[in-house]
Amino acid sequence: MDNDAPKDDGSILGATLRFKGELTAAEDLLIEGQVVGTIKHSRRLTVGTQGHVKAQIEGHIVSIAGTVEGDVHAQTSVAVMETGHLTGDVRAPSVSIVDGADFNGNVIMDTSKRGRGIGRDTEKR
Amino acid sequence: MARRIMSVFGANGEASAAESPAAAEAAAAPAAASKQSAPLALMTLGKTLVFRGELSADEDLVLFGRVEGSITHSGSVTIALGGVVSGNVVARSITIRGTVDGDVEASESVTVAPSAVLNGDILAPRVSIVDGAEFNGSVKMPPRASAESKKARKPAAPAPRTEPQAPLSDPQAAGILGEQSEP
Repeated sequence: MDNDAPKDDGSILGATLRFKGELTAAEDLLIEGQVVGTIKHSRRLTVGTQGHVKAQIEGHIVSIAGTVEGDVHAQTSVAVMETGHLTGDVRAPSVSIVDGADFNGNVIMDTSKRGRGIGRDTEKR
Repeated sequence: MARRIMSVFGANGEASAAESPAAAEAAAAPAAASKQSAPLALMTLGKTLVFRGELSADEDLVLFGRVEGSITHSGSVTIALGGVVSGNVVARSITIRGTVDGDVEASESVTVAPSAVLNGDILAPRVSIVDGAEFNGSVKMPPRASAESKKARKPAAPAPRTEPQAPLSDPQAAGILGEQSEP
């Protein structure tokens, strides 16, 4: 399960990147830098181990291996990895929190939407 | 860290280089640079990315997406074909192949490629605008170049001092004209 690496056409926001504002994207994205603001995303979003995000996140598939402060709203799934730190609420049809992860917040699971994701889904994990 | 990003990118770049010209451009840029210095960090911001706000970074940056706001960067920034920036760009060196609406300031150089559209001013010690580029704005080169040329000029021989209107004596003339003077 190599969820950390984005697929072919993905972008990587490197460790030295600092961004303040509104970020939207429709391609796989790996964030290793710092983002403050809001993220609107329509595909696989990964916050890498060095990533630090202080933002409201809206995405399809969100996996967190770094630090996130803010609410995460995903249409398909949210995964908090072993190295992940999440402070904020999670809203998604499918949520996984790996043993060792640091999570403080509420989980709201809307299971009626499950399976309505974008084809290449969470089931592979 | 740097190596990791590079390796991730490298794999992607090589795999997809043949498929799209955009990817080929991204792959070609670091390939040339990485031959000179091995641990090079490079970041590509893809086509669908839209940043609205302030962006800053130290890793070399290739932008295919859109930035509405300012970019402050300590390395080299390439706005690739298809990339759009509405806002000011500050970096060490800047290459524009896409569209920029805003001022561009580089501490080293600015290159405006034939495919580029630039509406704004350029401030950089070295500027090249290639034939075919669309550019509306002014170019300012800071006095770095003139300071250097002043230094270069200094060791030159001081001008000979003569009284105005007074004709030169023969030895004076000989001194000024040097070997070219009649014996």
